[in-house]
Amino acid sequence: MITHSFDYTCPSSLEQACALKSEDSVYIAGGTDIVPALKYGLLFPKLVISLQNVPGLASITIEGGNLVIGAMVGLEKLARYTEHFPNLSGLNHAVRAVASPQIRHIGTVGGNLLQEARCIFYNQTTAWRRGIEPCHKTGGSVCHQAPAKPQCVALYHSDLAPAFLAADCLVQIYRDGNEQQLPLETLLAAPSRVLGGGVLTHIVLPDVENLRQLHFRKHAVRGAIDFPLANAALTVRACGTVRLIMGAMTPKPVTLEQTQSELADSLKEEMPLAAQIYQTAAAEAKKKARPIREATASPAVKQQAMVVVQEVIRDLL
Amino acid sequence: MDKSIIGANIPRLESREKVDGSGRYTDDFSPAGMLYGAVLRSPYPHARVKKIDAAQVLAMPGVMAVILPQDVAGIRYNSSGNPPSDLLVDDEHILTDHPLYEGDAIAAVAAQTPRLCKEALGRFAVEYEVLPAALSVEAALDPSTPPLHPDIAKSNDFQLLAFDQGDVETGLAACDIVLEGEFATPAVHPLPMEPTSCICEWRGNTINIYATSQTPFQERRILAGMFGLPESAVRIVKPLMGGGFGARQQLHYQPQGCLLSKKTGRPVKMLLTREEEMMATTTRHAAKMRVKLGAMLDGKISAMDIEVWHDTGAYCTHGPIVLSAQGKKVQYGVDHYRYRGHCVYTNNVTAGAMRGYGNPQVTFAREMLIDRLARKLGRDPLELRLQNHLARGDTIPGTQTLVSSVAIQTCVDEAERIRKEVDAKRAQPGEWGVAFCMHTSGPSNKSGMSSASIYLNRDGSVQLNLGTADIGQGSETAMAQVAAEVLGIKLECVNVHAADTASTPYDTGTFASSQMFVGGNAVVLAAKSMIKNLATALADVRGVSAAQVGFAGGVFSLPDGQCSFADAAEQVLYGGDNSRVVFGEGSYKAVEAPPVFAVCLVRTQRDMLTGVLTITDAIQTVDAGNVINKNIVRGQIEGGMAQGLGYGWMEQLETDRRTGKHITSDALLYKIPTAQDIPSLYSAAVDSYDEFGPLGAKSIGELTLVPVAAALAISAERSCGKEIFSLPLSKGLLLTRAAKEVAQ
Ligand SMILES: Cc1cc2nc3c(=O)[nH]c(=O)nc-3n(C[C@@H](O)[C@@H](O)[C@H](O)COP(=O)(O)OP(=O)(O)OC[C@H]3O[C@@H](n4cnc5c(N)ncnc54)[C@H](O)[C@@H]3O)c2cc1C
Ligand code: SF4
Repeated sequence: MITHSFDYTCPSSLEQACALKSEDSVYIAGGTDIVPALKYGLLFPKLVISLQNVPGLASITIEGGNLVIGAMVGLEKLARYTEHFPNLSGLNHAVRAVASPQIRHIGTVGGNLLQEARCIFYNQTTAWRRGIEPCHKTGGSVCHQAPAKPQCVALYHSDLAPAFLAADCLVQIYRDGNEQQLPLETLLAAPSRVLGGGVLTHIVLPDVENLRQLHFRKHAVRGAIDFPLANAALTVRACGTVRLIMGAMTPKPVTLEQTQSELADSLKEEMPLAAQIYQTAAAEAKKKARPIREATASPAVKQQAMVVVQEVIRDLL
Repeated sequence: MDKSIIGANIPRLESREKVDGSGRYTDDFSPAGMLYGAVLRSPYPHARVKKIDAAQVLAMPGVMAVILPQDVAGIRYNSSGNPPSDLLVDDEHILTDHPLYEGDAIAAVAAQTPRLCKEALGRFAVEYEVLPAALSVEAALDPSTPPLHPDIAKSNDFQLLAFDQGDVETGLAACDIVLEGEFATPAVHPLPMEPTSCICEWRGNTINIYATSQTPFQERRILAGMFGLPESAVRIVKPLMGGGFGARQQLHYQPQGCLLSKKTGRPVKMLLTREEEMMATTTRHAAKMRVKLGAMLDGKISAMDIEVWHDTGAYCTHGPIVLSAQGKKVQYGVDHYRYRGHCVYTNNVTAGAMRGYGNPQVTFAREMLIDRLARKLGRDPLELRLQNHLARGDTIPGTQTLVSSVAIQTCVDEAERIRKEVDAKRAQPGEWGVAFCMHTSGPSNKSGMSSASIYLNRDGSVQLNLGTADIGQGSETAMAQVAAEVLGIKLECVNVHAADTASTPYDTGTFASSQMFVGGNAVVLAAKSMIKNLATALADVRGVSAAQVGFAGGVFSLPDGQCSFADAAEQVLYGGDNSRVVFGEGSYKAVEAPPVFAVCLVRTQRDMLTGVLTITDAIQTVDAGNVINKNIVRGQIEGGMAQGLGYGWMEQLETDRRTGKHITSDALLYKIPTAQDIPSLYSAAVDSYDEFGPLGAKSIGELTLVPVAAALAISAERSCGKEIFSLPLSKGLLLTRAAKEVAQ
């Protein structure tokens, strides 16, 4: 239950939406990430600005060879759309791996990328949190996951982000009357700073034709309504570029550079993949992972879930 | 037997109203003037309330009353819905200034809206002294840990239950092989879909309650005693219920609700949030188990030594009785048996009753060892178990209970048949895990009792009044079927009214899988008494002697011809000077609760590259006696398998050791399997008949959950080649479900 009061508005243009945005207000898309945060007393906005009436944010088009996905496109819509593109099957898997049919029907692509990092000490009610000291994320100066850490180490669990990153996606941000294009990676590095009160309008997947393969894998404790223990996406482009991204093991998804370059080399030589590549992938994933404690799975199982990187490699055609 | 009634696929009587939304659960009632109640809970697992000030709460417009620990200081009770027993310790408070677990009730408030209640909870000014908490059995047993309830027991290990047969030490010494292991199972929550709720109205000298309640008559007894009222002044009604699984076999927040109502003079609704549900209702006991199994080279298991420590949490509730039930569930004919069960207080969530009542824990440990024995001896795991299985007429080790019927061989044959079919379909190699289990059909201390009354209507339809509480398992439908069969009337002619302490007769309560066996026998007796009374009345009306009236297949025979049940009703009710109202009544006291049996097989396969285990199939065949309703039995088997897979695979209430905080506070953090996680399920209830059961039926409620986690863990152990000692498997293994089409 949300106990604090706030105003709610549905502006009908990007200009109006941005003009309303301040420190005391938040945007809402499908609300599946932000409403629980309101219920849990993690945010106290005075104004909630819905983006649902802003035109032009809810369509998927191909423009100049790029796939342009509106930030307000529903996850279900993206799932249905991507079914028709064999080279986007991994994106389809990623969307279908999110939460549950109910959440996919209301949650949006933009909201998915901009979801908060999660932590068992943070995503809890006000009454629950009364029993522990506030942490970095709730106005305190301690981390209950890693008391020695000077900053929050919560993990980012988006299932779409690794797939979009592997596909070299760009994002369009509207702010102060301008629309700017940036790598998705830049946005994810510091979302609120990069957005600066602006609206994420589109995700641009460049040169779709050139994308030969896109694979996605996820392990979660259960098959639905569950955030990833680990996820991974792998792309191969016609030009020979390979990208391998691992998510849910770090505060931002990470690129497994060494593995992806070894993969690129063996693909170039059209050699069958050597078994060694699986070890390289496992070792690199392990080195880059920064797992924290999650519910139900032990740290060892969370680590084991990184087999997703081996699984996406095995998925290569 | 009328095959269109007994053994048929009859839909549940309440299914339609559940599906179309017209059914009324506790939260659907709102008596005039109703307020909402909420409980202030301890955010610490162990603390002392140094100061509590409710001034700010009372100053809020719309807040109608507050109660504090000092208002209820004299009252101690045990909330368990078991019949009275010396084993049940009265250690609970309605509110406490010395909270013993995170979620313990400190104060309660009544206000005009749920939102005001939530705000009010944030405005209590409470000063706590945080105390060290014992968050495991080991910590609670450490000599440096003070007892949680020093006025009740000097040690946190406060009750010991023991069962013996033969001499286990000598028995083990004489064995060719002794296997042993220390096993652990977690605390889990049944997560009923409907949250725990009640509406309490204290008016004058009477109390009226609507509640999610499995044991209305026991709860009435406890509340009447607590408030010094005659039982007749307390009425408890159980509306439609969205699950119980044991967690509502006890009082929850009715005492607080009653007191808030008394203070405000208005009805008060208490509806728990999911977080409260997870932290402040009851769980299955977490267990530590030390098990030894002694066998001969020919496979004969001759000695079993089981010692268990149950984490009962902060309060006793069912604790010792769960252990008592647990010690009596061995289905193998061992000569030497020793069971020791320790009930241990800790600062964890209170444990209570949950489907299986102690049985799933020990079944897991025991079946793991039996499987290891089978591998050691190179024996087929089904056949080794059959070799050692109890037969009809045997007694259950450690008890005097006779096995009155057992169709274990048929269960095995049927399971094998299904397994072969499944194997033929699966391309990749996999490993099957096998587990057996036994449960009983009524409280194993023979305290089960139920009664029913039947009123006859003119047209031959009847009103069947039952004390039993249908909590979602379908007992009302099954009871109506039994009544219809014995009376020889159509199912539509039976109207059921149940679980209202003011208008239905006594029933011990819905637990111990007892509804079919105990409640069903009461219905049989009531129906037979109805037939007898109707025959006598018919004789009077027709001016013949009672001995001249016979009854078979729904038809009365008289010297001058036959007369249907409906005609008899008409004649007796409107039959001139001798007409009368006819009742039937039956009271059944369970003497022996006949055991039921299950064979469960779970299949997993392992990915050679990644080591990931995939659960592909699960089979369960049961001997539950004669099946009264196929739909209900299948629902119970599949539901039990899903819940058992959750127990074996992913469920666990978790506490963070460093902060002492309960982590699994909602249905996202505490994971139960979703429909997508359930592998292909195959089930069957084999032909069986128990002479003591109503129409040959035994029970099905708890049995089907019990062996599943064991079968899953055994399959995982065989697939990974690594011994498994604890549940849930998700703590140590990466598991997944067989690929299915993703639901759209
Ligand atoms: C039970 C549950 C399970 C879940 N499981 C998964 C899962 O398995 N995988 C997964 O990836 N996610 C999961 N989620 C997260 C789910 O919230 C997202 O997947 C969903 O896509 C978020 O979209 P939304 O539109 O509802 O976001 P919202 O809640 O509306 O917004 C999320 C955030 O983004 C901001 N925002 C949204 N749109 C814009 C925009 N256009 N410009 C600027 N800011 C914007 C909002 O201000 C807010 O801070 C789960 C959520 C729940 C509740
Ligand atoms: S990781 Fe640490 S700082 Fe971040 S939310 Fe969790 S406890 Fe707080």
